[in-house]
Amino acid sequence: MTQHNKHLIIWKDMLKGDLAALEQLYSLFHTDLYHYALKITEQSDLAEDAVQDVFVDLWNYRKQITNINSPKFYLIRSLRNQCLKLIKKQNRLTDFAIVNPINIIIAPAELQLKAENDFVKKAIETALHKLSPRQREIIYLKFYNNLDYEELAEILEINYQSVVNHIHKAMIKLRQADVLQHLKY
Amino acid sequence: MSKNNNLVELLKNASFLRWLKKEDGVEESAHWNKWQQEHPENAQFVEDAKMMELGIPFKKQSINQAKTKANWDKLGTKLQNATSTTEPSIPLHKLQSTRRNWLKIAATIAVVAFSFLGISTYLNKVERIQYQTGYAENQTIQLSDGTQIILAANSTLAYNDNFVELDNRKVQLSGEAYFKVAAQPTGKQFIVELKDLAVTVIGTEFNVNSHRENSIISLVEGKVTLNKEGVAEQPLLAGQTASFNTQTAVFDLVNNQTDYWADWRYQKWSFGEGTPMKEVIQRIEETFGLTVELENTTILEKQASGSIEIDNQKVLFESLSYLLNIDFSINGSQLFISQKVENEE
Repeated sequence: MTQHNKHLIIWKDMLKGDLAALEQLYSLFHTDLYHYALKITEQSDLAEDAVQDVFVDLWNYRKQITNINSPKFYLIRSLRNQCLKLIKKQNRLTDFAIVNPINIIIAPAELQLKAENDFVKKAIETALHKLSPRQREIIYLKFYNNLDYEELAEILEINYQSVVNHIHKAMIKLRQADVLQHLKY
Repeated sequence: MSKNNNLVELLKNASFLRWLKKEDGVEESAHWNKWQQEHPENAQFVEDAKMMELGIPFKKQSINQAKTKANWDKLGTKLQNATSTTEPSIPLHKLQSTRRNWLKIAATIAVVAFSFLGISTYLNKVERIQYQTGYAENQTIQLSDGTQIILAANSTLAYNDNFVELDNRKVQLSGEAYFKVAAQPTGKQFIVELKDLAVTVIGTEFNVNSHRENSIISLVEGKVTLNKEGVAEQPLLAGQTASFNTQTAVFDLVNNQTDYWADWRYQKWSFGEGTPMKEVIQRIEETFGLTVELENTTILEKQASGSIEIDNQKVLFESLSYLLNIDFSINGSQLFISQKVENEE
């Protein structure tokens, strides 16, 4: 059985009201979800709250959930919305609206490199910094969490073509900055 | 975008992706190899598609069983307590507003000013009255005719206290103020004199900013005329904002910017959609008396929109820092703005 099918079976059990299945989902996805939430919120307590809220909502509203092909996709999408909500609440003393408040950072230390030297790291850091916030978020979701283009389009509420264009442009920028040759696949 | 359209199609094609990842069968392999030979112009697509499939390799964070378990236990309690309609709990946040009770302070000052005014009238002398605000400080001034003036930070308002004798009421302003002018007796006018022009009023509400080289007048209610020597007088309608353009020698008029110019009196700044960073910086300089220095010019490309409370300087800077992704450091009267440096996790 593939990982994916295994996840779906647990998911269906959870939807039927099996609390043990919810715990299984939690232990399967908590690490990745927390990782993403921390990147968005940059505060560990807020990140953990966001993850917990996602699971509380999932449990409370499980009867209304239909047709989910990928539990991970569903959880990441909910988490992103929850983080945005918490950020907004936290800043409620300003009703400042910024088009995209998510500006995640990818550090060179998070990537698999052929050689760990400071010079290369600095070059990679600079190149990653030059990507737009949206490009960074998309390549993070795509390559850290292995989401597909359609799922990315739905999570970010942009169309499929835009997702492809963002990744294409981001990768070209990284290639031009000679980053790709230092990566260990 | 036809080039990327092709790329989009290819990346949707499961067979093509299998071939890219070398997971294809013999027949598929033959098909795509042939396709590549027949369309050498597609070499770039194939290369780009490969690059996009490979992406960038992250180190995967391994699951910390103990931490996950501990968090699950916490969650378990939440689930038991939760009824199906509870709102997710929101943590206390660090940006708690500590609203300064500036109104009370302003009222006290106004009372003191009033008694001063009373004494001077009693002595029947022409008294020069002057109000001055410091940085990040507002002051509400009530004139004897019912006119209310809110003096913005770093500004001075002065007038001769002989309103009764003179035909017109004249006040002089340097800096910025919001005027709510009471209806004047027939034949009398209320005039705000600025360094570059004068605003003649007949009962109205408007904001004047004369910090800048050319004063900016925003009319919230009523009607005023702008008077400049050697130029035809310019009537201003409610909702309009005007300044005299020294280059073209005419008044520049814009609509719908009065909130932006006049909301400081409610202790907030209202930025319209896509307000340039330059404008935000200028506001900071005018209000807090700081000289701003930038780490680099890309900071100027940032834009603000929405409104933000300004009654607490620390909170304001924290919010701006968070929302515009910039860092502030203050050294004396210098404010250094830099791109935010992210902490390593």
